[in-house]
Amino acid sequence: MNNWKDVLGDAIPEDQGREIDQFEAQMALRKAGKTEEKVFAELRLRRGTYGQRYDNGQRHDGQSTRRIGYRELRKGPETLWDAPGMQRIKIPYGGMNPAQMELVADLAEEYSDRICHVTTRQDIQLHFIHIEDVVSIYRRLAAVGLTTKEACGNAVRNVTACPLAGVCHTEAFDVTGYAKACAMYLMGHPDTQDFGRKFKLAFSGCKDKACALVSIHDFGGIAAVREVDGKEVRGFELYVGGGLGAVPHQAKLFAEFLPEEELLPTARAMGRVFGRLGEKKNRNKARLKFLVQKLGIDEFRRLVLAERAAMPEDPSWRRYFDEIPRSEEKPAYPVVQLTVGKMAGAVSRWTETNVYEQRQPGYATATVSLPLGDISSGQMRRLADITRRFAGEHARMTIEQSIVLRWVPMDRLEALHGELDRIGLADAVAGTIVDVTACPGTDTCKLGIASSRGLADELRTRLSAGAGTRHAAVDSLRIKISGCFNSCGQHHVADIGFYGNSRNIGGYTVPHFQVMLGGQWRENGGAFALAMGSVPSKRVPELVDALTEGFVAERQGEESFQGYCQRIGKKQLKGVVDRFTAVPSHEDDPSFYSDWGDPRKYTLGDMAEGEGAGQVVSAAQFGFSAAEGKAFEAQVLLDEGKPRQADEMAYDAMLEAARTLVREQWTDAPADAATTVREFNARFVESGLFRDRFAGDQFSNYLLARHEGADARYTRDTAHKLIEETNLFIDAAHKCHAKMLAATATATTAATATTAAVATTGAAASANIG
Amino acid sequence: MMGMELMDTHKIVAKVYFADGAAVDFAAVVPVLHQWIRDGALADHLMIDVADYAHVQHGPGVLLVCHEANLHVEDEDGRAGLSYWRKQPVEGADFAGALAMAAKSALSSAERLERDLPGGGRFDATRLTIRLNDRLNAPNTDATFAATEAPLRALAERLFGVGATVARVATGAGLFEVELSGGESAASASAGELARRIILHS
Repeated sequence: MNNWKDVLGDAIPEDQGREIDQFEAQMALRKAGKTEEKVFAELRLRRGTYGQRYDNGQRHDGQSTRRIGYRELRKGPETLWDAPGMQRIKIPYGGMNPAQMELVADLAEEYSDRICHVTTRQDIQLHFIHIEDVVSIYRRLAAVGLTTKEACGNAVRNVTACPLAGVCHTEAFDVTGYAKACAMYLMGHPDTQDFGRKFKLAFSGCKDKACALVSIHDFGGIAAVREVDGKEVRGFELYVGGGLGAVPHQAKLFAEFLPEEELLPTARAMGRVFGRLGEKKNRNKARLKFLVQKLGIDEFRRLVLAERAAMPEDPSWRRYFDEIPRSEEKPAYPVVQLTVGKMAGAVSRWTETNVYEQRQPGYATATVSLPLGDISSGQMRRLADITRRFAGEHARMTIEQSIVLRWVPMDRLEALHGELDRIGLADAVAGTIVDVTACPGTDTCKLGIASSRGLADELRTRLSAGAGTRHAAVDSLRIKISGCFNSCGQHHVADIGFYGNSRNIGGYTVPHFQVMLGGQWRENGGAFALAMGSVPSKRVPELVDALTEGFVAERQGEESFQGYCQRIGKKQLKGVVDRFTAVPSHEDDPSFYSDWGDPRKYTLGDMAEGEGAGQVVSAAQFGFSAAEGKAFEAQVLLDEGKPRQADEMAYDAMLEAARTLVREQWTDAPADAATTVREFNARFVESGLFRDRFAGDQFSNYLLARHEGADARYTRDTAHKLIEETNLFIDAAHKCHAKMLAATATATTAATATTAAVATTGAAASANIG
Repeated sequence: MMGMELMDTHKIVAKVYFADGAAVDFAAVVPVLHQWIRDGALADHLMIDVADYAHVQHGPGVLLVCHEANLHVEDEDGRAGLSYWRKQPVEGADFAGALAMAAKSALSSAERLERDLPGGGRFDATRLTIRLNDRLNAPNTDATFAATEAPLRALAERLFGVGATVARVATGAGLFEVELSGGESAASASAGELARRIILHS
């Protein structure tokens, strides 16, 4: 039988080939039942092989939850062997050459659904992959210099970098080689194998642009140059402990200037400290940001520097460091004309939005915008050919789910536009409001709550209609959408962001999105948006229109959207959002009860809908609304520079939501905090009713921890964190309540059936007697 | 290529095109495929989910994801149609058996779509495209054509009668592809009638 191992032979690097062989052996052992499900799950995750929605063998088809008849073999806890999964491919700094693009196109065609999906961290994902195919995928990728190693799991993830690195006008220097060196040096390193959670690195060339969003990474370097003894010395302004996720954290300054030769040793030392002191049991507290928060940045820095000083020399870091200059790119084609005349029509608009004139005279970087980050196998193959003919070897994925072609001679831009147009990839939308970012959401992600891609597609379609005629200030806004609070769509750093949640309306579950306004994309994700309340999914497009119209009408001078939000204040913005919160009854408009792009009646996973509990729902909804109102008040207090009051108001909001649940079981429960928390703990936490399928006890811990005592520092950061936690706690309370309703409905149905059976039996008995 | 490798080539694609080059309303296809899952419409297939890529120009369109195969309504090669992409081996079948399964599944699904899609839509039952989605065992080479020609011709004659042709389609770096067409009984049949001409041996 043919196999790729024999066909590719020496093209697969020996060490990678050996590791892939080992994984293949682990697959055989799992199939034979000789490797634990849990162990195998981590092994495949570390090779970027993820689970996907419905891989527990259950799917709601719009009428009922049905079992998908997979065989019982498992590839992880609750994860069936034959269920399709996702394969993530690491693309360090987003860099790909045409041969690699062609191979990825082939893999998508042969093993996936013929779509290559570019992620917000410059990876490529293939969906609907069968586990038996992944070994061939690994081998074929290895043969062209790509890997999936540590693309998931508790490891060093893809190292991202600004896609304009090396061609940017304002960068201190090209960070490409440094990103690549970090990626190669840390991958599989013994000091990065004992983490409780993932570890993400990013590099930017400039401080004031968005570039690689250094502020939201565990380890982020911004290029800096200093003069030492009359010589220019390269280094990095180094930030640590940032991250989005459920509760976002801005990274803290670790070093104003870390000399370039210290980059790899410092990253390694940090890995050793994180591995030794980071949380291992509670994964919800295991990211580096929690360790930095717990220790404080000064103590964390001291520990890392002490580790660095005591760490044994590792000759390999010099080897990787010496490779850095080799990453500098050279153009493949000479420039014939340094400048080009004004172009007309569609090309003109495209050059305005999608073309960046490089630092190197006569060259440009062209952005290929991908709708929802998707590119088909056929398009990818043709784009590889276009890349070769216009940009040589130089394409990069971006964190906005696009692909850039670098080193395109300016005098060939018009021809390039024509070629891209022929394959449907010449949309003039890069960096505009039309170019909506979205994570996979409920399409394929196990954690997705609402359809981020469905909403993004709807917004993209609607907003495309106004392209070119819209006010420039609106055109440059960014919309980013996540399917849940985990922030893979980076909603925290968008002008207008959304994340999926749900609400129970009249016994039905309705898809909603939490509205996040005023995040900052510039300055490497310099400020986070705050939650403004949830609106039903189907009303989000109307809300976007209202927000952008309001911005145009009330904008002062050259005011940014973030500045506008700050000036008019959250109360006024909340007023706009509140106009779109109403949900018509199911009878009046059932479309609200299914999600964008999915005609099935909306449900939360396998949860059945609760019916016939209208009065109880109304009482609970009232309580949750009060909690949401207090959470909003906390945000206002924070904006007014009152972090202590904001903290107390957020705590009160959590108590309100918890009390609402308690009173579902004990109507007359006293309102004091001690009783609320004690009863909430006994009835909902210890019973497991409040437990989230994926987040465990994370959300209940927010209340319990705050009840133990406030963070006495009362800073803006601590209050902001508590407000984020409060919003998540309230969402979790909504979900818990929906579970209670579902359980009530099931019990009612069972009781009715029993009564009917008893009645029938009784009737039959009577008949017999008769 | 040796006969043994050909036996391993189960990743067969069969595509039947809409008649008259009609464009496809992808949005109308999505609820139909969800209904197919509820109805268990594809015999011998474990139906999993529906994926919508209508936003990608000439992409994979809208697909019904099954364990054994993906079923697409797409216009990937510039022509709208229904394509069946086999992923798993057909138990107990050789290449000819797997080929028959792919062709029958595509044609019978096309017949069902003609019935279920609002506004109808007819398929062109005078031709059927076959691709081999397997660069390892069935690269786009003359050797693959030589090794597969006999079973392909047998299928063509069963579908379209005496005189049916098997024409290799040049696709450059793409997949191995042939078009089955012609023959004395090609013009009169529907997709459903073609499907019923294929007999599967279990």
